[in-house]
Amino acid sequence: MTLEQYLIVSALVFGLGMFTVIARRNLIAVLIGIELMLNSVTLNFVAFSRFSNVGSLFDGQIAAVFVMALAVAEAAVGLGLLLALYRRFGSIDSETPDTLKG
Amino acid sequence: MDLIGSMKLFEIIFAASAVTSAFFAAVSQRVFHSALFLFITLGSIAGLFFMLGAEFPAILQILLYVGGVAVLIVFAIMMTPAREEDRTSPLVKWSLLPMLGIGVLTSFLVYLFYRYKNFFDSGRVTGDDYDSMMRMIAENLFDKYFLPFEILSVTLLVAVVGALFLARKREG
Repeated sequence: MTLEQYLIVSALVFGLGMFTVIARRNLIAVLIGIELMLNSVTLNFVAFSRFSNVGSLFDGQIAAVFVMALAVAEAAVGLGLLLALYRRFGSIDSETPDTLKG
Repeated sequence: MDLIGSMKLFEIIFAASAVTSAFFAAVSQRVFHSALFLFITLGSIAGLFFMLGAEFPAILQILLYVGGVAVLIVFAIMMTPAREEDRTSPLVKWSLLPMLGIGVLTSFLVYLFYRYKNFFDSGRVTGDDYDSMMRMIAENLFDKYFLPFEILSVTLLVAVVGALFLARKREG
């Protein structure tokens, strides 16, 4: 496939992930959407490093590795937050915690 | 079928399965189904990494996501109750506006890619240094990108300690 086709796949996955983040109320589903978005960005990095002549061949791959490691750290912290939220409010709906509401 | 032809076939299969399972992850009625479709998407993107000649990110993707994030998400689903509201598809609910906005965003991105098609010089060949790929990645990672690597390791430590702190049971 060409670069453009990879970028289109990545854009579609990014859009679907963003839809998941916005439309779903379950916080686990929101995390799933964030993972989709981060992964599409990683695909972009790798595709650019394969097809473009800017920079070294490995820059994009190493950026992808960094994004992946940070995404996993984000998932761990996010799920820890989610469990704390469930203990505090008894629900993982994104509209339940409203302590700061005026 | 020759090698190039089967590569192209696999690329198309991986790309199609990435997009369709991302779609089903977005619209599934149950969170557990969403999680399963997420893993299919992640695996397909790992396959696309292989097709792009990036074995190291592909293997890391499988190890980290299917090994780590999958287990985390499945455990989180098992530890929290399912709600009745999750059973209705988000497509049915009021989500027409976000769908419209995201559709516009995605088509704008696709338009941009075609508009600036010639900006990136396509067709770099990576066959020559295929054998030393792993070595080159290691050299880059521990030489040019050493500082980000160290910062990342500190970040991971903080994330693990923070996740444990957040998820622990509070007494009293």
